[in-house]
Amino acid sequence: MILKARKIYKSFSHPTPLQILKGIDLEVEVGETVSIMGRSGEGKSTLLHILGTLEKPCKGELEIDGHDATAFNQSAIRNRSIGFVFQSFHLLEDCTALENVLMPARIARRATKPGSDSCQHAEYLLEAVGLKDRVHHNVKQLSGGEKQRVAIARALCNDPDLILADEPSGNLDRQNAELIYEILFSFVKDKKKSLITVTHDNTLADMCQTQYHLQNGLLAN
Amino acid sequence: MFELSVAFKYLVPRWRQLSVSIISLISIIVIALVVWLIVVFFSVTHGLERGWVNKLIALTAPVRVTPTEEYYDSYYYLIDSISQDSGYTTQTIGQKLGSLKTNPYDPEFDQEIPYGWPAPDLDEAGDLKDIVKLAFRSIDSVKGTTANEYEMTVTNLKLKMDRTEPIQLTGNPDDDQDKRVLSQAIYLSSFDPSNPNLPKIMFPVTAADVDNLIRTAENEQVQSPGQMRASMKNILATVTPEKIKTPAQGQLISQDTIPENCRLKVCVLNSGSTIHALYLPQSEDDIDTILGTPAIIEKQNGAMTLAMNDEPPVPLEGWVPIYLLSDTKGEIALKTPSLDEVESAHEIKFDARFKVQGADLSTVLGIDDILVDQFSIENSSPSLWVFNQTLPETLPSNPLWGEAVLLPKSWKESGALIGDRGYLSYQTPTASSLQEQRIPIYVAGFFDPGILPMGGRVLLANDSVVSIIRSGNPMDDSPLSNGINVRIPDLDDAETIKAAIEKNFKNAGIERYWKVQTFREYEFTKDFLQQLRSERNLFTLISMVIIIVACSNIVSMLIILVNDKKMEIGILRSMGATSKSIAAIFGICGIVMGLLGSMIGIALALLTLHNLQALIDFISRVQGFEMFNPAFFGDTLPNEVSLEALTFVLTSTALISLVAGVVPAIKASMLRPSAILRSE
Repeated sequence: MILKARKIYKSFSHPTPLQILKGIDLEVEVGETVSIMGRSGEGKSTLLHILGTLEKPCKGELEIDGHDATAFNQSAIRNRSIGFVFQSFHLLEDCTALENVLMPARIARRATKPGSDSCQHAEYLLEAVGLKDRVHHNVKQLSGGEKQRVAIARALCNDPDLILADEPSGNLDRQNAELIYEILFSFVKDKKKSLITVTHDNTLADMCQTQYHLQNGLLAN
Repeated sequence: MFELSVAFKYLVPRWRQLSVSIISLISIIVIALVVWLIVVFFSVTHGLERGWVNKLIALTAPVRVTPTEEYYDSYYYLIDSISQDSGYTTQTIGQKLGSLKTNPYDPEFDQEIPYGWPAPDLDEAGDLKDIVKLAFRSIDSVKGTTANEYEMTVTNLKLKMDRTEPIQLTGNPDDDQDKRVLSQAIYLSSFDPSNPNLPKIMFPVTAADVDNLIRTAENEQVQSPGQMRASMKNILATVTPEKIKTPAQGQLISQDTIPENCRLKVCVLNSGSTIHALYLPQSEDDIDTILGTPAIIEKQNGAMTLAMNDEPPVPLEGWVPIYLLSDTKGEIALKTPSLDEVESAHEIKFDARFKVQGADLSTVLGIDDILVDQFSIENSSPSLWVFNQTLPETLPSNPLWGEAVLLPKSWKESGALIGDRGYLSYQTPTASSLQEQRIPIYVAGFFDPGILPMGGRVLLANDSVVSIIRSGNPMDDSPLSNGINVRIPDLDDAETIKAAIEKNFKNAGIERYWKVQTFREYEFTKDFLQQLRSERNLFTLISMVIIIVACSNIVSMLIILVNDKKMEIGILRSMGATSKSIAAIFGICGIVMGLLGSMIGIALALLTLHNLQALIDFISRVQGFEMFNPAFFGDTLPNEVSLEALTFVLTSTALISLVAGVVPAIKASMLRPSAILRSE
């Protein structure tokens, strides 16, 4: 079991009190791919951020990779066990593709000099996402699809067991979206990673082994 | 360290972050200026303070041990006054140190100890404690110290200043006094050759001093030729006049001096066809500066011709005096082979050589004709005066001239010169009245007492002289009059050494007889140093405020930077960066800016200090008057960078910029990554 969420509650008090998650239970096995669909404003991204320890639930238990994620050092969990892929890519703009991919390794205080293991791994990841010739390009010079591929490579930099993708194709055209799915799933499959993705796209949802719908603050199959 | 690399990335100016870049630049410039100001100001004031302190204590020592009232009331001190061995007089510290007997009292010979006298302070063995010797031993056991007794007393000095220079017609008639006497009540202090500051404050011997010595010796002719001869030998054994200059009224030379077949431009003083005198300038160009008719003289076959106003030369008839113009420089060497047979000063002759308009003019001058311009000193010979940098163990004493004394600068400014003679007068009580005693003295050198309040009235003489005069004032037991000077290698150690001495005194059981003071506690330095210290403290406070204001720019810049980098903060947090790491990134930004500003400021300050004098000269020239009064600040301002100032600015700017970075850093670390990432 890579992720276990028990009775996750989340409510916002501002501007008006709103109970958004009403006791979510979720279990994800190693190598399992999960999609969460739902209407806009249902709390999909909030749930994903809670699962990724970016946000604290009001109530509930969360266990990631065997650690209690509400008590354990959340930054370390994010750095080691989780890789994020966002809809808006969220790359560091003044850095090259390689520097972006290497950032999680730097945060983990690993050597990132040229020729180091981390650097070689990052170059391999960029090659795997088809950006071999864009390694030293500033990310500002890349297209949307390329940026998302860099983001996927970055999410995999520290070899996490769980990938959380928040509408990974939201800002891409169909062709690019399919390329991203292919890359994402080939990694998940080859390296036995677990994937939780929030999406509106049925194609992506269909590619996942388990599909959930978030409705009225609860998950339904 | 990823925080460092991210911080440096943020600090690189980018067009996209123009406002941040401008504010950063302004912050760095302001910090640099403030640091520059502080380092320059502190370095100069620190140097000045050190210089002033050195001058203030030039005549004493950084640590001084003086007897307390209990010492003067002790059996140990009083017993000498009733002991035959001590001549029935109380003894100075130096005498006590040199005496063989701790207790000179002999009940067999000496009167009975008066009723009510203090009881003797005995040691464990039952012997009288030797308070002075124990004190010296206690001081000597403190590493790096040297102790010397000092004595000081008050007396009168009368100094005769014989000036036999010819009357200058152009001068002020008031200057024409031939003999003057300076008289003043002075503090007579013992000369201490171990004082390291003394050589630094001694004035070098000048040509005027050498001239004065020669003139004074010449005047001894009146008393006896033997005395003149002895003095002159003494002087010329020590000093060799090498160059002279002609006096104000010019130097009369004979026609024989003019070389054959040599045309020389002269200025003729004439009325009609009568020629009164010829003036010969050293350089042809000077001819226009002299009043008179320009002319050319030439000597052919022993006959002189004169050509005036482009007329053909005419023979120069009769005796016409020829003068070398004033200030003509020439070289001299002693001609008289032996001074032993000289009966009169006029017999002492010098070979003189003047280079005039390219021609060599050789003549013989008497000692009374020469005005020394340059001289060399034979340091190996027994000296008559105290030279700069090399102090003798004791001041010289000359049976003809008396005891050598050193006078403060103010006397030099009043016209006194080395070689001037006079006497110290003091009074000794006799059975019925006070009798005036005189000790003949001569001036052997001058020192700069600096800003010591009574410095202008301190005179240095050998211990023996001070002791004689002080014995005339037996009740003179103020701390100024007798004590122990303790010299130490570093002024900053004064407090530690004072504590060590006090501890040793306590262990020896003599602490109540002695008072130990550092230079900061002397009555003549206390107020001044406290004033300096409070001014420095005030400026430190002001500079702290200025640094805070300068560093406050960092706060605004970092707050803008945090707002600018919000998204990146969220991204880094999503990748596992801790809130501490985020705070560290912005903290580093603050410190780097503070340190960068400091470094630039320090570099500017070093550059300024290196060229300080040129800068001051330039400003003084621009404003038309001296920027700093040399009497108070010295001829040049100190330009050594103060380590204290460097440490102060580096630590304070680093600390303040760190504090300035803390608020934005905390703000950055408290941002919720989820909220940031969703705001896109």
